[in-house]
Amino acid sequence: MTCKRLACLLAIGVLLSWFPVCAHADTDSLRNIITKSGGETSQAPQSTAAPKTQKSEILIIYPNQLDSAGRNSLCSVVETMTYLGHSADYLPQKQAAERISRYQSVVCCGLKDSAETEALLSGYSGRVLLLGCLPGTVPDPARYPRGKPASGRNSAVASYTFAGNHTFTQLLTLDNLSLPQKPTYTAGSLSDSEGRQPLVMGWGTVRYLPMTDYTTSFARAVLEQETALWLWPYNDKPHSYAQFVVIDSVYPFTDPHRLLSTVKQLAEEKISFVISVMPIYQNADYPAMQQFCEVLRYAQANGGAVILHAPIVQGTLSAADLQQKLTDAADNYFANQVYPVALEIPRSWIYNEDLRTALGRYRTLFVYNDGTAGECLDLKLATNDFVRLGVQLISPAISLDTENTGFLDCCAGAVYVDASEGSEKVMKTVRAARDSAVPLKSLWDMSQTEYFNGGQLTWDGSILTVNGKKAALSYTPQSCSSNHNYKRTMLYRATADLQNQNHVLIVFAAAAIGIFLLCTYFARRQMHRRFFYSSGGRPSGKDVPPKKG
Amino acid sequence: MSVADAASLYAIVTIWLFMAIYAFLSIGGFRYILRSSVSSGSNPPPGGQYPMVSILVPAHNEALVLGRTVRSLLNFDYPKNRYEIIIINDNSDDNTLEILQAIQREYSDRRLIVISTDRTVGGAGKSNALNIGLSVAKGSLIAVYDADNTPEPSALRILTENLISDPKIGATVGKFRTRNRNASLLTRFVNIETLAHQCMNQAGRSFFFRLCTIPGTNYLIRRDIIEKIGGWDVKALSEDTEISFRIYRMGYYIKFLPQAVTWEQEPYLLSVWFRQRTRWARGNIYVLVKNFKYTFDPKAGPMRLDTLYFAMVYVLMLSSLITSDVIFVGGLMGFIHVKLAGFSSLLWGMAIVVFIADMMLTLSLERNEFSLQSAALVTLMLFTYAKLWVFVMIRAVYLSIMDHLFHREVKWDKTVRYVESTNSENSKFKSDTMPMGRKQ
Repeated sequence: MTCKRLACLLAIGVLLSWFPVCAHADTDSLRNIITKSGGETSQAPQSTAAPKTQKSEILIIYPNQLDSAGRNSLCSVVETMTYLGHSADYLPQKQAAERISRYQSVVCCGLKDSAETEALLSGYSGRVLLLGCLPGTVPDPARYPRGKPASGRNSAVASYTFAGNHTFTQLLTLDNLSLPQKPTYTAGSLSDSEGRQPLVMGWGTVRYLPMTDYTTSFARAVLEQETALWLWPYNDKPHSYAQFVVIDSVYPFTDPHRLLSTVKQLAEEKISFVISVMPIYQNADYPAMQQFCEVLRYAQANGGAVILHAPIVQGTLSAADLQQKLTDAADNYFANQVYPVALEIPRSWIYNEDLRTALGRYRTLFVYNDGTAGECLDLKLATNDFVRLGVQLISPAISLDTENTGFLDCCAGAVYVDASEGSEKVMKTVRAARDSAVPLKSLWDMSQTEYFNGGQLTWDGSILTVNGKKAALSYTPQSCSSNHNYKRTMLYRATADLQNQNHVLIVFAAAAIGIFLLCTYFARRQMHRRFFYSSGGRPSGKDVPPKKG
Repeated sequence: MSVADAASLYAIVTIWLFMAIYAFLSIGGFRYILRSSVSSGSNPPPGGQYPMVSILVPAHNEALVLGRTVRSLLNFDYPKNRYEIIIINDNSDDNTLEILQAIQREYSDRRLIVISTDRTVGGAGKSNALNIGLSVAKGSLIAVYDADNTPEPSALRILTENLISDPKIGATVGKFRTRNRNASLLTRFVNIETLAHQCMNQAGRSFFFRLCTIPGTNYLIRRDIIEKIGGWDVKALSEDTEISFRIYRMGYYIKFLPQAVTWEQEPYLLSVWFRQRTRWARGNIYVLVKNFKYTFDPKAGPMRLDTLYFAMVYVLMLSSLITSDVIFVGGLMGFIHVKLAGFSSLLWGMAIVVFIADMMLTLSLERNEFSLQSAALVTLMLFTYAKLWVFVMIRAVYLSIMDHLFHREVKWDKTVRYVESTNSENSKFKSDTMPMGRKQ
């Protein structure tokens, strides 16, 4: 057999050799690799601390030693910038010093040492937002007021007024509380037994917020509002944004009557709303799905818009897998004349660069709190330029009251309501949102575009086009099949999800390998005994060395 | 559930089923061979009365290898006056006859019979040649060896002693090894394959079910069985498999004796190998089609398991392998998308490890076969040599269908031989032919 033939044989065999038990996953992953190599390339996060090229005009500086609380706060600050439509770089103090002059705006987040902060800001002439720290003595006291630490003052009641003159208070525990003099801008108040001072103070383009923990709703809300004002270059107020009411995480197997009663009430009161539906990949022909889509079609025709909830995945997810899942889910809804026009994603995905190519295919993204904290912020990446995707990002409304109502109009927000709580509770939340100072908006007022594998959806404000064909949003009642063949045989059950079968086969494979290894060891031992001893496994008399002496 | 999903599930279930079957057989084969290794296989007849044995050796243009084979047959430690060697020089047009005549002159005191046929009587395949040999045989037991075999001196005696020890035994078969295993990468693969086959299929089935298939060489059968069934089937390309089924139907069983070893030359060129394996596969398909009706016949005895096993291999396993490869290629090109969820890549890796561990188990039972190099060869084999069998079977199925549709006459495709080098490697090879565990 010549070498050339052997090489050809090897190549063919390797190509065909992917074991069939994994054909599905293997072909997909292989196709992804081929697609990736021919088209998009996903770039791994940079391993160096500082971004090689400056991508943002805002620099967030954090302490050199960052604990978990500090990291969580830093994450909140970065996220706030994202929701306000700005990308931000973030660096530790020691690296920021040499790069600070390149940025138009700087946020000092939790820097503890006043002298170091002073040294850092020395000579910097751009906008400065000081979160929880003040510089010490600086050459220009008009710009950076002298901070005088007040001992014993570490908790105070903070008060702040949001949109619509709604005032909220919060007990804060503060570090490094300073008493600067003569601010030109103030907002809110901070009071304790010893006195009262403004919560937010400003001198020109410098702002100071005494809080260091921005994971609480109050602190986040204050930060968001003040940051919007601080970044606004004009003297008037920045743009006002609306909020969306989202009935969240609705599954086809939830009670359609309950959902319908909620939808009907919303339609009667002419409240625009959004329904976030979970992705469905199989059994889309079941009666439950048809009934569910019946309600969704009614909602679509009566002021509601449907959006698709991101798949909930354990472990890692590639952009190609995500896109395929979303395509499959969308196809199943399209088949039932339901047209999700946006995507709802967990907040941790904002920091996931691998998914950007998939998320960039949507015009509008709703973000929900998935319970993650600062661990999703990659410090090595040192930048978050999610806004460069150009999507319309709708942040979760910061809840300051029990109704989860939004009180901030500095960025688009979403008030999420749980459909399972009952229509009464849902309507109570919705009405509170409607009556708040932040106006409600319909998703149909915005143009939408979504790209799937092999198709797209566009909404230009009047016409909905799905995969090149015009789609109607009007509602026409349809009947559902009463004698549906669920095909609940062992074969279909096995086909649906092989995960259980995985465990059985893994156990079998492990047992087989163990038995084979044991038998092999036994056989080898027998071989050794048989061929290294003269007879029967025991050394013969001739083999025993003679005794000395 | 789409067609691709169903096909994928079928392939997955079938292949894992076969993996379980082979794992099961391997463990049985391991125990069988290990048990056999503690004895020499010798079972002398009472009174030392050895029956007359006729050794049939069909040969067509075997000048390159036949001399060595005949000398090995003459070297059996069986009583010299109790066996004869009948060479059927079947329509040869090389110098096979001259070589045989020279050996006859050299061993003029031995019973060495040479039958030369021409195209009129012979040239119709191995079965026909064996029938010709049978017609002049005098022995009550018939042994068959291929022309490229060099059996060990004890092979015939072990086969005979065990056959006559139990009247229920219709035939005894020995083990065959690859004499030219180092000739090429292909022969190394074949070496591993033959060892695995004999451990799993022969020894494993013998251990659990007392089932065994005659491998075509190095076997001994009762003459009256051959005469009852009318000789070897001239239409069968796998006359060995065919006769095995008939032995079981007659109520006998076949005993596998790994102590009786023969060494044969395997093809070292891919084209030769492909043709040989295609012939085997075609022969097995013919036998399967002919005997499948007995699968559901209770009177057929344990042979039913064999036909079922062959049917599973040739129908289920082949179709599942082809299905999986088609799905893979189709998926890669984007034509086929399987929506089966939840399948684990870890399982794929473990399946490979199971295969390698299984092969290494069979190699651990042979001297000088268990090594890291063997493990590497097994791994390579899985991705190359194993895949070739799919093409062999596809071609065999295609040719079988064509033969049936167009009523074509079956032609014996002779395996091309070559001259092996007599270097030190082969010499060392020869020295390993002592039976394992022979008691002093």
